[in-house]
Amino acid sequence: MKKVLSLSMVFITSLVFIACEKVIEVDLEDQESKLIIEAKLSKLDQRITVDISMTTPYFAEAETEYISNAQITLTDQNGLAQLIPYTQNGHYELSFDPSINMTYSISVLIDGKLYEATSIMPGSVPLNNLESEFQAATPATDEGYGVFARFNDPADQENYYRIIHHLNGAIQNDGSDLQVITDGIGNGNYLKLPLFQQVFNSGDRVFVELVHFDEASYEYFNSLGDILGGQGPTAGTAAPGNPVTNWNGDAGGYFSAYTSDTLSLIIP
Amino acid sequence: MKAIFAILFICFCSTVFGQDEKYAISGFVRDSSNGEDLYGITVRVAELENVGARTDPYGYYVLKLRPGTYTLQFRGIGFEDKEVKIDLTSDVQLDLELAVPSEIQNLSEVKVSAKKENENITSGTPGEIKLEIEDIKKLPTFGGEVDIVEVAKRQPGFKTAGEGNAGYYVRGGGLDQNLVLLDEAPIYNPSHLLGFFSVFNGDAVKGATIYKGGIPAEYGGRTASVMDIRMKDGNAKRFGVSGGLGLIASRLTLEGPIVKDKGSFMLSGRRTYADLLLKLSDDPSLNSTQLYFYDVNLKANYRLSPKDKIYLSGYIGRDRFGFQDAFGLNWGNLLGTLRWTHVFKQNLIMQTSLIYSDYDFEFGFGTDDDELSVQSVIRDINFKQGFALTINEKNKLKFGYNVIHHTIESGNIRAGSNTGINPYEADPDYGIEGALYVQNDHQISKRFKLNYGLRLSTFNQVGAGTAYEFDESGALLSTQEYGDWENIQFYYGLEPRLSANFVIDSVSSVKFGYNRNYQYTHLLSNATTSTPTDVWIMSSNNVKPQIADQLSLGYYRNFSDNMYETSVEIYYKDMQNVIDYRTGASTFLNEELEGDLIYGDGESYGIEFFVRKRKGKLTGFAGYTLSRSLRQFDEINGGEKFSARQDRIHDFSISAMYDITDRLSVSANFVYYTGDAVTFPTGKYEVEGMQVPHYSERNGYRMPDYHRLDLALTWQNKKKKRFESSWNFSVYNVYGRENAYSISFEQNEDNPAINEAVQLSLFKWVPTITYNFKF
Repeated sequence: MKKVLSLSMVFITSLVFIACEKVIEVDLEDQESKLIIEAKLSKLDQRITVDISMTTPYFAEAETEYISNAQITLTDQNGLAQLIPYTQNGHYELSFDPSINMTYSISVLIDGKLYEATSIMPGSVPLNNLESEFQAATPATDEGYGVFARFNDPADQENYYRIIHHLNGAIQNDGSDLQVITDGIGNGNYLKLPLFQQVFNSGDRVFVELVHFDEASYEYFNSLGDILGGQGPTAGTAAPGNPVTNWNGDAGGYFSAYTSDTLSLIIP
Repeated sequence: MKAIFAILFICFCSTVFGQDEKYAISGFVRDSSNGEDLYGITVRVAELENVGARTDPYGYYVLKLRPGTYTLQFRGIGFEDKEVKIDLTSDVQLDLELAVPSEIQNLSEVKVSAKKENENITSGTPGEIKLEIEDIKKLPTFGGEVDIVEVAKRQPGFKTAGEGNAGYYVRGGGLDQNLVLLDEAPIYNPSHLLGFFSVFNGDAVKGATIYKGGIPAEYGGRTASVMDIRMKDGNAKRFGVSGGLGLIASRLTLEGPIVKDKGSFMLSGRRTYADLLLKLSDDPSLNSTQLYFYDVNLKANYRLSPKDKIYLSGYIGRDRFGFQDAFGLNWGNLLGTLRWTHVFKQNLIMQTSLIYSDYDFEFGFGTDDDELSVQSVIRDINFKQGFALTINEKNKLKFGYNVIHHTIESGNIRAGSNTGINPYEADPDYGIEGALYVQNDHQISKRFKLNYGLRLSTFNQVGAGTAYEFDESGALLSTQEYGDWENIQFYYGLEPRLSANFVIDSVSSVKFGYNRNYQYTHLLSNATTSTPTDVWIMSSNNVKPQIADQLSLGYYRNFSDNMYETSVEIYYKDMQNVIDYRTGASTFLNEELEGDLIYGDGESYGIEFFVRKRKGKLTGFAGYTLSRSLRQFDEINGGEKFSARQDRIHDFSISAMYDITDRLSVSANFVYYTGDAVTFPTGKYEVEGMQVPHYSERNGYRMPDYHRLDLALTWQNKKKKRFESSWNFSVYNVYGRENAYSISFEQNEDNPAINEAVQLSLFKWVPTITYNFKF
């Protein structure tokens, strides 16, 4: 909804006044690199993956610097600990079947510095159906089909979701594709969530993954969405900044445990 | 602080003692051509030095003198002087009318009352600015709309919030710290078309009094400035029509007597027609678009008796933007003021006002079962009573009180059955703001004048409602429910105000001002530009009132027989409880928004230079401000001080008008300012294959400097009987400077490995033609 609003603002601005865009030179100072740790524990994939890298200067075409010497331990609330081994390019991975409603803690030790985070594996929420509806053109979108994810939101708790979609086999992961939602305005309902600002054509194969995760994960992706979609005159966020992380210690990124369900649809 | 109270006390005491037998001379001063009340007319007593009065916004003046024979001199810029001899043996009421000299009506050089136009030296507080709409009508406009706010924004100490933004910053304060009043009613969003125009129709507005410092005690509720805009009263002598046709909007104003010389009315309307042009388009995505704004101003006054006059002011304005049923945005203000002026005794006048102000915003998409829309409303009901008591010729006391009931509903949701979303009525927030004030205008000696006052402001956050408690990181700790009218949180503040004027000689003076202001309503803006979705919140158990203390000192000097007015002012302002967001906070549909707020301090300081030429073929003003505005939050930039967005170090502007002949005049505006302080990314990394910018400090970079030149030409057609008309040609941004509206950082479309900074500029140049008429 927020994005639709932003988009309509852009539209009004450009409709009424002739705007012009050009690439300009901006001198950015080189700042110290910062550590980014992206840790994902998936119930569907039965796997934990951790990617660790350093930030690079914004305009530089430099190679990403990966961290290969981290010592990573995943511990569940019962104290069962597992080491996550390194593969390559800053990637660490371990296959195992995580448990629903279990709190997982992760610790990452790099050159004597410790980074820690926790996340709770939520119950699964099945994706019941994908529906498509024809929509006429609007100033913001072309004509075509809108796709809606339908599922029953559990009423007894606050739920946080993310919707990921693939089009004809390719994951759609622009900033504008990032879509997270809380059940705050439709708790316990049979929800109908549109893939925002996405218009599909007849014959398109759409694959949707409904991710169910905890509040900290939601906060991370929600703020990430604001930052990615939030530059320029219609910024979705009040002040540009870094996403809200759940790491203790001076690192960016997140640790998220999640369940997910998937469905496919071919647009008629 | 204590010392200030002590001084105030001494001053009040000294006014009460030592009065002789005196009589009052009082009355109303009006414009003889249309019966409008004249504000700011000086009344002097020729026989006594430094004894005089000034008419208030309702044209009323009062003097107290010992019995005797006096010559009263009435003077005002743009009017012929008038002298009245009076033999004072009892209280007298003396109403009179001032005439516009015939030369002015013929539009030749203005040379009225050139003898003693040094009002800027002898009266006023530091930081007081008066603007009359007639003075600015020939300046270049954007889209043909004469806009008093646009001109105010070019005064030193004022900074525009940017192109296409009706907001402004005053002396380093925030956008929400400016009190904007239209006939006493506060306006929460004074902008149309997302800020490209202000809500003040140039045909309906008479003028504005603006305070950027030394704010008198009768004003409160905002910490940085007051812009008190008055509507025209309407012609009490005869019926008249005026209007204008422009490329973007057209205007029509009707005015006339209700009963001749007893009451008058003014009705003015304005509407844009961009959408009517869009309907001509073949493109369905354009011709189904709704895009317009309109506004209507109404003012009426009626003299019930020589001692009683009532005024009714109203404003309604709406902006609509939509596309078929797919989506729509719709917002507007509704204001009303009912005012009764009563003269008890000649030296005691009472003003009672009942004021209503409503701002609502709605956006949504779909209809019927698919509808999903969100509404927000802020509504004030305000009762105000003020008294003006002239104790003697040296002391003019004002005192009064007001009570405002605020209601804020943010985020009511209407949702159709197909959406899976529950309709939702947001809990309205309620607050009661109260104030009690007293101030005295005290002529201490021939050269030294003080205006001192004290305002006690109070704020109650009241039920029914929910109070939230948060921990330091903004996580919700607990909630508590409150019943109707139950007190949730109480705040109060004592606000001393002081301004002093020391007249060195007839062409120079030194002025000093101090004011402390409290603010209990706050604007949270989601984006970098102001949008109608900006959220107003009230002080609460979490949100403390904002407080500002300001000191200012100015030197004023006129040259060449008051042809040139110049001034230099310095100021220092300290701000407490300034509000900002945690990184990534969202104002949208966020019930626990207060948990996402952080509180800090601010300071600003600067020096302002100003020159104005009021007479001759060439008139105009120029200002230069050198200033800083800094903020400090524990949560931002590691607690270090950082530049506020409006920390523009250099700010220069000049506006000039030149009359080539009686009928042809040209005018120009030029503005230059340092770019805003903004946050740019310094690093990047990837998350799930998406490139993410990394930020290391808030507001560490600058937008490019802004500059622009506008030109206008006004051609007055020959007057035919009573019909007058003129053409105005304006060009905005003449040399096509591509000023940065925003800079966004993105990946190159062809080569995503390369990042680039992309600047968006709104308009290279905008020509406008407007036809204005009056009969």
